[in-house]
Amino acid sequence: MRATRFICALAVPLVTLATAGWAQRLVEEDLPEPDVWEEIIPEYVEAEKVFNSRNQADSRALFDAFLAKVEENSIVEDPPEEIHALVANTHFLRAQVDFNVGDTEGVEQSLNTLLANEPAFAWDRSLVSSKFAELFDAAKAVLVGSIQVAANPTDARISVGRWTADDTGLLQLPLGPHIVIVERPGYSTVEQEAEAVTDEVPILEVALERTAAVLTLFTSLEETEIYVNDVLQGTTAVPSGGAPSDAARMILDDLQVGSYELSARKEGYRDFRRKANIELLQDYYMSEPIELEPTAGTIVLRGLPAGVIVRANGELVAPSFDSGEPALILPPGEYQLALTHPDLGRFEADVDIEDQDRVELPIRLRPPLILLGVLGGDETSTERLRSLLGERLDGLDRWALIDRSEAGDAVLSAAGVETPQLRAFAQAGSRQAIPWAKIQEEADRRAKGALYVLAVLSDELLADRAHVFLFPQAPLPTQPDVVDIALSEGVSDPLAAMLDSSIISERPSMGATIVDSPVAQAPLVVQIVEGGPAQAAKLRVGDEILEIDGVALTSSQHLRQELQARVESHVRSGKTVPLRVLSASGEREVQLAYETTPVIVGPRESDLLYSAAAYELLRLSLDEESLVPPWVIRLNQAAVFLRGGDLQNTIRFLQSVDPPPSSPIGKGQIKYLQGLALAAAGGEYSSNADASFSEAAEVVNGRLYHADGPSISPRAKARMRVLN
Amino acid sequence: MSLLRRFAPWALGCALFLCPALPAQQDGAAERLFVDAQRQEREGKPEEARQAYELLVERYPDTLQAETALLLLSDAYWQGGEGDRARKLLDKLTQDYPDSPNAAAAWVKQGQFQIETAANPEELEAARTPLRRVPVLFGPVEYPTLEARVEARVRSGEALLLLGQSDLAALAFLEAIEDESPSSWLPRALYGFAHSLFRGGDWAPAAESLQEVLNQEAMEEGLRQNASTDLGFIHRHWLRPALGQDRWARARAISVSGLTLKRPLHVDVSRDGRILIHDGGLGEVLLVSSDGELLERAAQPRAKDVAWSYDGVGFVATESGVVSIGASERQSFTGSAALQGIVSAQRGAFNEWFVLDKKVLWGFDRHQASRTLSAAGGDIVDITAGDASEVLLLDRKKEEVTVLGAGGETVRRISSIGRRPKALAVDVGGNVYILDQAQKTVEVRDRAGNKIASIGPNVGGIELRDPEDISVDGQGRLYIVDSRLAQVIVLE
Repeated sequence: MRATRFICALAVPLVTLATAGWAQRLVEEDLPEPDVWEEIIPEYVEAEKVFNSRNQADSRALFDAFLAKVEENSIVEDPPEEIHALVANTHFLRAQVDFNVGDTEGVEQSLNTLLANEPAFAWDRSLVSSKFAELFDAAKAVLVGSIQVAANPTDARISVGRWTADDTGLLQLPLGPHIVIVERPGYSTVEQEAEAVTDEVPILEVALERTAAVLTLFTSLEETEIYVNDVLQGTTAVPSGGAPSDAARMILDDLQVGSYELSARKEGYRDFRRKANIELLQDYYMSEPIELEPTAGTIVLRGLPAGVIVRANGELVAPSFDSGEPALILPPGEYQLALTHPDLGRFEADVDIEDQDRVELPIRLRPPLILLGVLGGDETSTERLRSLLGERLDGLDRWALIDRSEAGDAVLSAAGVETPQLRAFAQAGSRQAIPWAKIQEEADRRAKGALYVLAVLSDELLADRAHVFLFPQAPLPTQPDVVDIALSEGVSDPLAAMLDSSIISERPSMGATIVDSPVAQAPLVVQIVEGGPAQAAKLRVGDEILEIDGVALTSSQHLRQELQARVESHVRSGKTVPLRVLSASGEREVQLAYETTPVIVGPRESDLLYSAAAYELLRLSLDEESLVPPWVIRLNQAAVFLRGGDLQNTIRFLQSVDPPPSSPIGKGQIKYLQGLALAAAGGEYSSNADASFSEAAEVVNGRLYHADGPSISPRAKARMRVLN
Repeated sequence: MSLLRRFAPWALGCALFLCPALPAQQDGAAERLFVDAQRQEREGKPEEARQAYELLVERYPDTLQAETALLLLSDAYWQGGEGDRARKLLDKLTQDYPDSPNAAAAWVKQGQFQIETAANPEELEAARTPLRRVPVLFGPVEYPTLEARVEARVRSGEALLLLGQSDLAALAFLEAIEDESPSSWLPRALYGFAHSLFRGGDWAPAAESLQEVLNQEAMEEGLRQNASTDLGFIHRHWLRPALGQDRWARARAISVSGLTLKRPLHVDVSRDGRILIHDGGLGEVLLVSSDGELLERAAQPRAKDVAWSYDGVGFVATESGVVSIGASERQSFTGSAALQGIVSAQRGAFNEWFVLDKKVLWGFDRHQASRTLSAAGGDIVDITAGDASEVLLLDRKKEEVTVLGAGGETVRRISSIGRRPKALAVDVGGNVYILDQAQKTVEVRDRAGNKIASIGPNVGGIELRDPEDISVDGQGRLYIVDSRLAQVIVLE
């Protein structure tokens, strides 16, 4: 039988359909419940095993038992084809047993039953004796006849009840009249009576009438629902006997000429929709299976550092880099994302994504802030402070609070420190040195984090305050920050604000020293820095700044506030701001270009946590995408290490600072800090300190901390004179 | 009676009197005593408060409250004039609790008391010893935030300024600013640092530091006022000349509210601009605010001069002594030396008096011991006290100004000062003003004696007729008393 091929056009750009050899129509097997039929199969297997053993005779009883079970089950439901085949085999093997034991009657009875049920039963002659084969042939000759069906189209299915014709259209049937059914999708079905006889093979010619077009659809996934014009037609399935890797299919066999909206749907996947134009009543089939795309949203993890472990709803997920940037492709839904990195910290976000959503998630790992516990109080006060700290610090923007309170006692114990020592230290100082380096080492070992928090209540019984110690991981400076908080008011609000503020900042700079002289009417310019904005605006020493941008000024601080208030609107747009000034020659207006310059941390700032700053600077120094100039980071690092008493690192960082030549804070501050570090080292370094201060003093217009900060020269000279 | 009941009284006695109290119990009792003492103080019962503190020290010596009580007691004794007793308590604190932060506070108090009683530079220098100990004994590693250490640095710096050692003073202040955590002492340290620079002539950074003082949120109002005044001085005496401008932009006669001056003869103006005027015609001494409001007037028919002391007390010199404005303080010199009639008197930084008696300058220390300071053969017509415990003498005969150090030694001389010098003034920058009555001019010399300005006889449109005395306030405004004009003229 050869298939006829057509080329047909379907609506654009639709599925390519082509006719092909007709495959047998899928018949949904009315399978029994697996537990009914599958349970008896082992009994057949056992019987066949015994049949092939020396005790073949014993198999007869087993075969009988199997048949009895089949009969029993058949009362409830029809057996599947597989059971029919086993039943046929049972009769065939049972006939051989009877033959071997010489029970001729039994042989005859079994073969008769076999051929009545399976007239086309096929077997291997080489496996049986010739005598038995003769008995079988004789029985078949008496009981089985044939009908040859010539069907058009040739791939029509020809059947009589359970029995189907072979590829040539030959039907083997019990002798007598039968209703032959010839059928094929897209055609009308024909039922015709014919008689099976032994002496000849009657030929039955049947031509089917085409009534519909047939479209065979394939889907890569089983059980895909197929809709035609949004009406469910059924679900695709792998044909019986097909390999699991074969595409699932479904045949639409009642399509008339016309245009159809085909769709394939499956939960968890995007709908597939195409139009199909049926121009002729013929067979069509889809050349490629429909590949349903899973529904998914994309969460782009912007700025994801290497080595981060990502969990979505607690499950590990691996980011995809297919689009060049790290992204999570996840089915639609709500996700709690948790990203962790052993050094860089933690990031959490709740994301709700729809199919085909693309969510950009800037990843900012928050370093772990380890709460090492609340010490030195009764249980109620301890729990109260712990809860308050948790409440206030859990919502920090820059830190991820992790409660490791259970580690606090162990850390102190291992470092040989007792709570009263810490309390005394915090309250006023203590002669008994506290081994901060050891505490830091133990904290790193037992509850590794970026920054550690340890709170000590002010009193064992009646605490109304607490001292919060903060220190960073090694090798950052060990000296802690101590923040005093009241238990009764606002509690750790100032602490939270301090933790959430950044050490990196910029301030507007004028490049001028401006004071409030009682002799002047307005803020008075007493010094102008060469190359600064004030000089560029042609401000002069002795000028009094009456107004900024139309606002009358009351003090130099007022001027600074007004400048600060315009940072957002002016600095980024490069605008200037008008100043009305009074000089000996009268009033005039100048345009001051807005300029901000970095602020370098001072040695004793009351609103700064040096421990947190040290860690922030460390992170910035490792972040290759940071916009903060490296020299600003290093200069700040030097200042933080100097404050922490780590002179070696102070010098190391200062030696690596390379500010741009135009920077108003630069060489002078470097040399001054170097002088401070060397002076603190003392001894043989005193002369080096003197040299550093001397160089710092010589820097023209050198400023500390900021372009408008205090002059370095007089400070350096004061330090230097004493060394001399 | 059960055994327990028979022993109960003994057990109670043990608990109350015999057995040493547990630390927590001690702290509780000490705290109660301390609170009680403070209450007594608030209620104006100092004696009861003192007794409560003493009881606390005696009964609970090992408590923090006892340490604090010792500090408070020492203050109380000091203010009550029992210096030795106060010092003994401080000694006890430093000896018995050497590691306590309160011991650091005791060292500072030792220094403070010694500074207050220092009669000369040597004693002032000695007063720095306990202050210097504090940063050494109580370092920042063990005591990261110790206010007593900051106080020690600041007080030490202030003593050094008084001793004229502005370089060392600058470092002491700088350490308080840069090496210590911010404290209530920061504005004072910034002010001291500014003054150190000011003394060295670094006026721009001095102005910067003074502005930092003004930028501080919390401080004593007096300090804010002083910083502002100093900025005015810098503006007038350094910035304006640097720009080629006159120091004084205008002159005006001070109009005293509700009063007409008759024959003003003497004037002295405090640092903050309060004006003392001796009017011979009225026979009165007037205290007038900088804007002319009459604050106080006193009949002083025998007044010879008026002066403000280093610490801001106004005095009137009479023939036999001095009396403070409001007469709460009176000092007589008649029994101490062979005085013939006081012409002028100034109180110095060590509470010593410089008394000009006719032609001789006498020095009286705080214990009334006197000595002659001026060389013979001169004709001293005026004296004035300068910074760093200097005193300046105007000698008409020698036509020079002599600057004496705190020990009476001659530090420098300013010569060729005109034919009829009459009065002398000095400003906070060390500039010397000499009034020449014949020329009706005021000549201004810098610290080195260089002439930097000359004013008069016409000052801002006012023609001087008979100038008698001059003075300069903290902002560098120059005041001239003219008896014939019957005016006090201020150049500002």
